[in-house]
Amino acid sequence: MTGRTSIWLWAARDLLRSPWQSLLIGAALASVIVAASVPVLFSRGLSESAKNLLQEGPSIVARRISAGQWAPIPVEEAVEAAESVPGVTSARPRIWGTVGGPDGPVTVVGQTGQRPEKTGKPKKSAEPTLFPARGEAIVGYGTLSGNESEQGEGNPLALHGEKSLSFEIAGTFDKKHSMAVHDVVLLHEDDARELLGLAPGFASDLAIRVFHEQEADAVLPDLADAFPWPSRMTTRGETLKMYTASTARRGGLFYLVLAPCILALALICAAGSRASGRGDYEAGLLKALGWTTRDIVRLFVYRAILVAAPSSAAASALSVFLMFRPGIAWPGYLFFGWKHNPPGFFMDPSGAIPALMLSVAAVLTPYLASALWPAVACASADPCELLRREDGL
Amino acid sequence: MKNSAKNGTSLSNRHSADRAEFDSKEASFSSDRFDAAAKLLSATTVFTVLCLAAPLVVSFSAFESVETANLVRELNASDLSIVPSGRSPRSPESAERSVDLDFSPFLPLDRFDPKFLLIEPPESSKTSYGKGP
Repeated sequence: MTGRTSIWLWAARDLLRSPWQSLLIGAALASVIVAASVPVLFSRGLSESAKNLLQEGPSIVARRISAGQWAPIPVEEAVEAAESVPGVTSARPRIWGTVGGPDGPVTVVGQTGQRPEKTGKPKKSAEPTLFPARGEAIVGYGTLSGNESEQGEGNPLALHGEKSLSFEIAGTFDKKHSMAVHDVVLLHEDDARELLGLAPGFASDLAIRVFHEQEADAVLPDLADAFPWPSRMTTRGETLKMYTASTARRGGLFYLVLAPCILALALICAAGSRASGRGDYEAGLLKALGWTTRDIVRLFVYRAILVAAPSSAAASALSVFLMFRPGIAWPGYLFFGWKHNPPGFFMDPSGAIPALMLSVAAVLTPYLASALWPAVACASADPCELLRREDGL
Repeated sequence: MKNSAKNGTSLSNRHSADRAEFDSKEASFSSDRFDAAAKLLSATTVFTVLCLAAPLVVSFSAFESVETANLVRELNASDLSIVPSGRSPRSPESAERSVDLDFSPFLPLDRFDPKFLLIEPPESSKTSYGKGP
């Protein structure tokens, strides 16, 4: 037989003999690849994004526990105790909690930092200042239910905590920050205290930073010794593990369901080819015409690749579009229980390619095997026998 | 005889002509089919390359999370805001029954364990704080 190009052409010509069947198999392959790759990409993207964002947060969060419940932490005593532990570089109190918003619970954060002095230079971005005045609130988009024009800047926001208070919305966080502050209401420290029922000198918890990331786990016993009350401490690593492990576990469960689908698709392709008798007859005919076993195997494989390559490429592009398009909202509905106004996901696509290749390989391997197996079986058989099979002799 | 020879020649010519026409049609038909196959091959290659380029471009494109990361640092945030308030493990209220904890029916999240990593201080510390007479 002639060169590889001729076999590619012959394979393409074969596909044109039954275009609808090829299209159907391609569509089935593409849909299975999308279903297989989306959970993997989601898990990967979420863990990468969480790592990127949370590495800027505190290394350890320490909360005081009293009789199984959270208790306010005395700021001065807690900071002094935490900073006495070797390896701790800073300890900052945080004032925050969950209160009732206009459309469900929201996370209130009290700004405890110092307002920077004005330099006279105009701000480049349209971002709101992170230091709201008394009575003002800076809100994430998750706290605005529905119509932004009715609930956006300048409008009142009623919050119900220990007290019911109303604030004026002074600004909104940009949508691109949704993964961090979607349901956050940033208030003045005193307003947050009043709303959450925190007495002056007390905070919700303590954000602790350590010099080396690896030290976070090591300093936990020392911190526990330093605090004179029972405390619950969460390290950054544990939070990251929660996102990584939970999404990976879900992905694994999904694969348990998907594995039979992949196998079924491969078996259907192989059985379809056998049932139509095309495989046997063609191989017999081509062998009788002088094709070598190698050529016949190539023809079958090329034919499978011509269906698999565009469908898997299209499925990969679609999966990446579904997962990494900035501001996608559907994971919020599907995975995190949002019933309305979910956060926009802006996920980090780095490392997506290996995960995607793994998913594509998981689907394509059985499919290509199902194409290759009849080819090998036919190519090694006697041509007369193969032609007789077609005639039913 | 002459007639029959003439008829024979004519038949032979006609047969040759038919044969030539048939060969030409078949060649054209076969050529058309291979042209279509070549076009399909080119289209498939271009489509595949374009589709594969999209994930590559997205994967290597810079992810602009610096501003969000700065915001996280400013607010000292220790968790993402992708789980609704009150359901998130970060929320102390998630341990309370008053908060609705029905997570996604598809893929439920783990419920928060309030005793997770609870570290008790040593007895000496306990006695030095908050103990009545």
